[in-house]
Amino acid sequence: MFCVSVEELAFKYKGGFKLGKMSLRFCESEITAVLGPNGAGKTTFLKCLARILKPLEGVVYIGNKELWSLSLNEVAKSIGFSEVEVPQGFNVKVVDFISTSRYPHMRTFWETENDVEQIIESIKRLKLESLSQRKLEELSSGEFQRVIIAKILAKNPKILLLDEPTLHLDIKYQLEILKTISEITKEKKLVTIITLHDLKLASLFADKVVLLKNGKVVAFGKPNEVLTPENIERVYEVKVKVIRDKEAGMIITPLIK
Amino acid sequence: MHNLKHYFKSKKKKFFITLSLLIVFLVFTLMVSLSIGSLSISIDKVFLALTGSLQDKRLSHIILDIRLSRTLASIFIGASLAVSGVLIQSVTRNALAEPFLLGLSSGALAFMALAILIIPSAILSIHYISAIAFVGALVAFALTLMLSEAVGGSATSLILAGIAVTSGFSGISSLLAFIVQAKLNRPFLILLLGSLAQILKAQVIMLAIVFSVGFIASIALAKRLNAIMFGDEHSLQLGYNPKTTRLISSLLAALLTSVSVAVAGIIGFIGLVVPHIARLLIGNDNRFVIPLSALLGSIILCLSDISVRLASEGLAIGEIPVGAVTSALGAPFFAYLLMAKVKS
Repeated sequence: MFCVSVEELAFKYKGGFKLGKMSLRFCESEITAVLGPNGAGKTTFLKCLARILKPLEGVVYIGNKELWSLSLNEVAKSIGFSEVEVPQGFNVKVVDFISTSRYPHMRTFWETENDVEQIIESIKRLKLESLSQRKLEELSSGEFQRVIIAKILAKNPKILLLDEPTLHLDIKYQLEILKTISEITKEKKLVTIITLHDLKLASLFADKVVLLKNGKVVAFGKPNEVLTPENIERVYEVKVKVIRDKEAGMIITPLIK
Repeated sequence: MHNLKHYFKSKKKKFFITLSLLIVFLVFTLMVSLSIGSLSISIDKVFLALTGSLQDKRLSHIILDIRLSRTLASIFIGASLAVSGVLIQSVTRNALAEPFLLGLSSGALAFMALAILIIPSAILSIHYISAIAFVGALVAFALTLMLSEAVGGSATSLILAGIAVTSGFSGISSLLAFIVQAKLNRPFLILLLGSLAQILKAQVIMLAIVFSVGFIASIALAKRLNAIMFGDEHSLQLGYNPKTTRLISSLLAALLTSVSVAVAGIIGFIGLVVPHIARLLIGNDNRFVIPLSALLGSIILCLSDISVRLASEGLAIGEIPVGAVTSALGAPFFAYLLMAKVKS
């Protein structure tokens, strides 16, 4: 089974914020939600896994290979990360943006038939056919999230790292995007790690949950084991009640009195 | 999906058709440029002279020895500035960026003027002048980037930083150019406005070599440039180190700009306008944008030079600087882009 293992990982920003040490293991066909209050280090953690930030200590294993021993191209082929800045004033088309994702695989100057097929397949998978000729700047947040996922899928990665895929989405699109991520994770046997703000969504879609606070792992495990009132209060400093319902799953509601 | 598959094929087809049409148009522009002057020569004679089969030795001399250098210079400089614009816009992710507006041209000219003041004989060596101009362009670009970072690093701050650096260096270069001209008794002030009036064969060879190197390297960088447009982290995601891309592209942009400045002085806005026209024609992919920009840049500067020569002749007022024409045409375009940006 293909897994990503994090061993004794620690990271430090120049400004002083520290992450770790943490030891965690994420395996194929599983979605792990990284939760925690603002500034807990969720995005920093993802960037350490994406080989964007170099850890101070510890090792990340991709399968049996060490992340930092891989070439940039090898990392590019196996890891898909969501971070994108849309350039203003260039009018980039959705299909052209998604196409860039094939570069790590391309030995030729132009896209081969196979590259084009992969691009089209990922566009179809995210139902973006009608948006493919639209400009990135004109997309709604929900559409943009789908484009990001299509872009990552086009390169056929083994690991999917998504920073806040539900940000700025209303509930319909939150559910839709997480359902898609969940399906793709099972279908392509991906190791999927996403950061989320919503505990309820995490309990619905995540196979595992990491609770972070001040750069440290407070709990790691299945949602119903980790999302207890005690853990949530420790991390978010809010009292909650967790109700288990047959139909609705876990209901997490804050107690304000 | 059939439509999407078709999209990739048709885009490439469209690119090659546009490329061919522009090449034909460039050849036509080149011949027109060679035919006009104080003695107007018919296009068929120009064609014969170019193929080496014109009997009239005097005409052949006018075309090949006198006019060809200037025309080729306009073509290589236009192409160099346009490619430089594509490089700078991609690595700064800023659609308003270009070598003149970010200070590279003025920096190059200021350093040239200073070097000539210190070692007057330097003016005779295009290699030496180009090397100094290259350093000037790099210094100016680095200053603009640092100033822009210091004030927040936004797209607008980059342009404002560029304007500050450009103003500084054009002030210095105007002052120095004035002294150079007075001391050496050679036309130098004209370079402030960009001129193709005095072109030597050695300069054309230099321009041709630098353009070829810059163009081939830019094509090789095209995918990296496409990647970095979406941010450093996206570039890393695709397996390209963004620092390497930025460094090589900046060096190439400075090289292409500085040699153009060393030969013809400051010719602004080609690097801004041309990449936009190329993108309108073919979309954003730099693998298409770079070759089309090179062709469009050469055509536009060659046409500008033709119009300058016709106007100068018609008005009998001596040489009008071509840089003045590109600025007059380019500035409204800049204003238009600025307005579009503010609206969004």
